[in-house]
Amino acid sequence: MEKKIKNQKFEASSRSHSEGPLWMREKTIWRQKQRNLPLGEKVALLGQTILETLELEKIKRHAKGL
Amino acid sequence: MQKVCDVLEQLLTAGVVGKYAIGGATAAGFHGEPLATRDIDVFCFLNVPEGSFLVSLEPIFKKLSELGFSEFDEEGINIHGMPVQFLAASSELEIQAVNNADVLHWDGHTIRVMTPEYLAAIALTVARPKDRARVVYLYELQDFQVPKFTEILKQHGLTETWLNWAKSLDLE
Repeated sequence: MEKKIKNQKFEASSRSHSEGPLWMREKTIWRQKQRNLPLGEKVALLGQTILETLELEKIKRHAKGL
Repeated sequence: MQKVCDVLEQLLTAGVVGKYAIGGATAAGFHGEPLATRDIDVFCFLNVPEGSFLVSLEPIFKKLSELGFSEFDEEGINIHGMPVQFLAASSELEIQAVNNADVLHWDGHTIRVMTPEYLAAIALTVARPKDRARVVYLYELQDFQVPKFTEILKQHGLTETWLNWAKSLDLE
């Protein structure tokens, strides 16, 4: 099982080397999608990002005992 | 966020702010991908009362209080659950950025957002580590207009600063 996972990782890594880093390709696709979003959805997504950032900060503060 | 945009438009219609535009990470995220940010920066023109030399945000807070928003969240005022920070556009660059902001409409709503070129120029003047990252991000956007950016830099004496940054950030 472990070997299979390792092989899968290796294959994914080989693919990413042949077509550019995976994260960069994903980021580009994401950006293209984002650009094509209707304006209302884009604005909603920005709002969601702010709320998620605030939530994350709250969790971090809680973890630090603040 | 849509509701926040509506409130900002209400402030404009009521004459509490002369003009405004969203800046900072929210605006940068608007042009590309959403960036982690904890508030919405709103740069605005404020009407200075006659005989006064001080620019005050008080009229904004008064109007917002009338609209039911009076809770502060650190530097921002909470509007529909989102901290909104109002900043008086003070430098020539900020004033120009507000005047030249993109004004976009959808389903009866309006958003006014600074363009990537002005956001990058402002980031150059603020110059915190996160502003360096923002400049790289904005400069690499597909729609970033380099000639427009160059013109803004020239107008505001930022060309040399940009050349140094571009060299160190490998953006030449």
